[in-house]
Amino acid sequence: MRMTLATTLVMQAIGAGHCHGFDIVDVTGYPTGTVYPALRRLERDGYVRSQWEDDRSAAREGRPARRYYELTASGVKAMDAALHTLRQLDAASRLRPRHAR
Amino acid sequence: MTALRLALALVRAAARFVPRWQRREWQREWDAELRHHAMDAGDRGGLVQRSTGAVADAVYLRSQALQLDLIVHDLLLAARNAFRRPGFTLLVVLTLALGIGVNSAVFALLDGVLLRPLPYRDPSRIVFLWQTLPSKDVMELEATPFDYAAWHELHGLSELGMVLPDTFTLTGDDSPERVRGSRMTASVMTLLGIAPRIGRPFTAEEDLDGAAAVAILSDRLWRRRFGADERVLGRTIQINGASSTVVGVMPRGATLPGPLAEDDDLWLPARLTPAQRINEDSHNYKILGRLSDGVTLEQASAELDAFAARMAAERPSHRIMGARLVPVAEQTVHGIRPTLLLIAGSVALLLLVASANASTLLLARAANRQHELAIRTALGATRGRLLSLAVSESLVFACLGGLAGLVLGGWTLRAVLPLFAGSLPAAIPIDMDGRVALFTAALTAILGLGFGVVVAIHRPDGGLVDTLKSSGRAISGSRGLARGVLVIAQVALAVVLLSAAGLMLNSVVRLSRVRPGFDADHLLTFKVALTGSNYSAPQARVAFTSGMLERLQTMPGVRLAALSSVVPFGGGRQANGFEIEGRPRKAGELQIADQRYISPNYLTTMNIPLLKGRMFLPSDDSRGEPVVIINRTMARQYWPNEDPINRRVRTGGGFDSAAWFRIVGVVEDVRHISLTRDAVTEMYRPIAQTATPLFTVVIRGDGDPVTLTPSARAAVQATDPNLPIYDVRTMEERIAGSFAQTRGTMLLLLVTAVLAAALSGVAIYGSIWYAVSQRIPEIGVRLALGASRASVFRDVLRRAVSLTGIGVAIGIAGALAGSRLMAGLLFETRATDPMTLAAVAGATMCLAVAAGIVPARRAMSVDPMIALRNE
Repeated sequence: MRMTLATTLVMQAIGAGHCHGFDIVDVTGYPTGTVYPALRRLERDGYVRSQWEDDRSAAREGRPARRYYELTASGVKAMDAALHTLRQLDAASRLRPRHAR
Repeated sequence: MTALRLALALVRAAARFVPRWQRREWQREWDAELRHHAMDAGDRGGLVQRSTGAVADAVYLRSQALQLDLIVHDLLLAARNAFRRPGFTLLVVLTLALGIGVNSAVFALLDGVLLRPLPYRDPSRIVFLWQTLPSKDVMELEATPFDYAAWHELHGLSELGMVLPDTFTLTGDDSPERVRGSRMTASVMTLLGIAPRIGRPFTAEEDLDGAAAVAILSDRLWRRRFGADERVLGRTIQINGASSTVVGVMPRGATLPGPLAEDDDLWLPARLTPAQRINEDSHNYKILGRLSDGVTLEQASAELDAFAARMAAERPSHRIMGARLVPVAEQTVHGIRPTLLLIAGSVALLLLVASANASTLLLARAANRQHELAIRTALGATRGRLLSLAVSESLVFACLGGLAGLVLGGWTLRAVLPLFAGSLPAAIPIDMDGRVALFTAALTAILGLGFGVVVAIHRPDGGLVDTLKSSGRAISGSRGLARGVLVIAQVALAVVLLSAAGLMLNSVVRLSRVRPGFDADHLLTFKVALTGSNYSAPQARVAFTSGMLERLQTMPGVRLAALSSVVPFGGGRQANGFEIEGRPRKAGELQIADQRYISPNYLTTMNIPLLKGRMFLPSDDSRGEPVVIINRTMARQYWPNEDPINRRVRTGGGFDSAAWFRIVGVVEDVRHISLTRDAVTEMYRPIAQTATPLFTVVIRGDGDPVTLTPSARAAVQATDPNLPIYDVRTMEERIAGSFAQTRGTMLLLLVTAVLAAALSGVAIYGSIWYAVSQRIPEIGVRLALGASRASVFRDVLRRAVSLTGIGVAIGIAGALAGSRLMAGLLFETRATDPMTLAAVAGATMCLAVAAGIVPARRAMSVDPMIALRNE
């Protein structure tokens, strides 16, 4: 699977405990049209799994149950690899000499 | 909460895109998130904006379900592969473009002529009404005004219209011009559902001669002569020397149907006199009818039959006459339909040849990529994925071929249309339009999918190790067989096409060898019409024609000038019944001869030999005894064992009926209508005794007759500046025009057949070359073991000849089986002509030998050491 920046940040958000769609939207700052297709891809490739919130507890709070996402083991591994690449890229960009204008 | 309602509505709408099995959960998730957000943040939280993501989400899920991303990926990969080998791609694309292109062009023809409804109101209900003379095998005799009036009694026809096609002379501000046109009853336009684009249609009062003279112009004439000026309405124009008021302009392209579609420039009202309205002898009017609601063609035909039978019993003029209805669509296309179907069949065969050729190329390419495919399979590619890859590749080739084919089709159509210009209905626009593009797209898609499946079926199913060990040489048996079968199929189809083209070529050669009965070289012909009050007296017409002929005769480059009311291949026959003095006609017997009114030197100018008696003399004028010269067929038919000279005959109609004419000469037969029809009985009369107003001038020149046109026009207009000359053509052009459809069909078939043969030649060459390259090690071993190079050469050539031989045999069988389709289109050539078939077979075998020689020489020159070392 292609690991884009958006996909990596979505995974990072899930890893940090932001577990439902709009929560991830809020924390990453990406629009829903980016976050949801990324979630579908990640789930298709086995990097995240989803489950429904318990209906009874949601009903007690007077709201509908939401769908929660969590990282799988391979998801954690893929996220670590992607973050590592990002850090390397970041380091490489810091090392690059700047040309005087 | 309006924002929430709006957001939920958007999600519901987007849910339609989500695959059904995911839809419920998907909508539940989005609903829950939106409601939550609304509870926490209310309308301020950008609910609607967030809900728009549902559309992207839904579309993503749908595309994933369709595996669109994979398909796009495969297509991109296929395109990259195609452009990586431009030579191969060009070969496949050109082959396909050839097949698709000609098929698109022919589809445009078929669609325009046979498939599309005619541009009239409910055209399937419109019919032509003809009278018939079954005993004379005449099935389309024009009706008379009397019959038109009588047929109004028929209940099966709700509307009737009558048309009299004619030509008219336009004079006035501009130069004089002869234009085609029609007189018609007002009902014709309502029956057809056509009307002027500006102005008004004719009124029923204008059917009668008391009405003022009015005219409707065609769009073409309006633009050409009146500069598309809308103020033309109400203007007075001069038609045949009389004034008419313009009351309308027809829309662009509007024409009458069937045999009436003659690029009419003037539409005039019938304005029949009382005498004309009851005329039951003038068989010059074409009648159109519309079937009444709920009445079938069969019912209306039965009613007309019964009516005709009653008329035959009641009226002497109708004694041997019947009547029939012909649907307007059939009347419009029946002449060209067999030709179009033959052409469609032949280009379909060419498409098959091109497809077989492209399949061979794609199979050869697939064989070269065995390693890649084996590795893909070993890495887990399923059969579905391999099929998707194969189909993507062939779709890319087919699409490129389709695009190129569309361009080629446009060129082909432009080249083909003039070949059939005389035979195609004028009312029908034929173009490469949206329907043709759709047809091309469908054809492209079918070919793309078909090739993909063929290639995928013949992919290796052996293991990775086997395939890699084979070093790319050994081809699987099924693929070698498939290639052989494809080559045989191509040869067979090419042989069918070559046979058809050969038979048509034979016909055209025989047609061009037919002697028309006169010398057609260096003859210029043009028509002149003496219209208007200046020429109402016969003396004025005689004076004009002798003055004009004198001027023409003295023109430089002119050997002889003459005129005739009708010239061969000039259209029209002017047939009339006649009787022989002292030999009363039996009841029901028809004696018909074509009448020609000629100047004294016409027969000499045309080089029509005199067989007996004498030619006309200048003294054969209105003061002399009425005389006539007949042709050989008439002499043989009516005086088989007698001398017709000095016998007397009298015509029953025409300009000079009633007077007895003395036969003074017999001349050789001339084919008038077409080269394929035998001469009919003919009578020539001196024009000085019957000065017809419409005639054709014939000039025999020393050199190219076309160069005489300007001075001929000047000579006519020096005699009368208001007279146009029209229908100017050399006699050779007239004769060529008479079999243009046959020649056009032959040319198209010949081009198609040669292309098919060339493709087959390439296929034979490719197949043998490939087989040789696969067998190089084996050939090396054979040579090392002492086989002679000549035997290797013979072996390779034998394969080429045997594949072709099988193809030729199948092709000849196919040509014989399809011979019935050709029979009606041939002239003095049997559809099973053994010479043609033998020539085609021989030529194809020569092609096989030519295509096999290069690979055979390659095989012969294999170095055993190098071949074995490489292995």
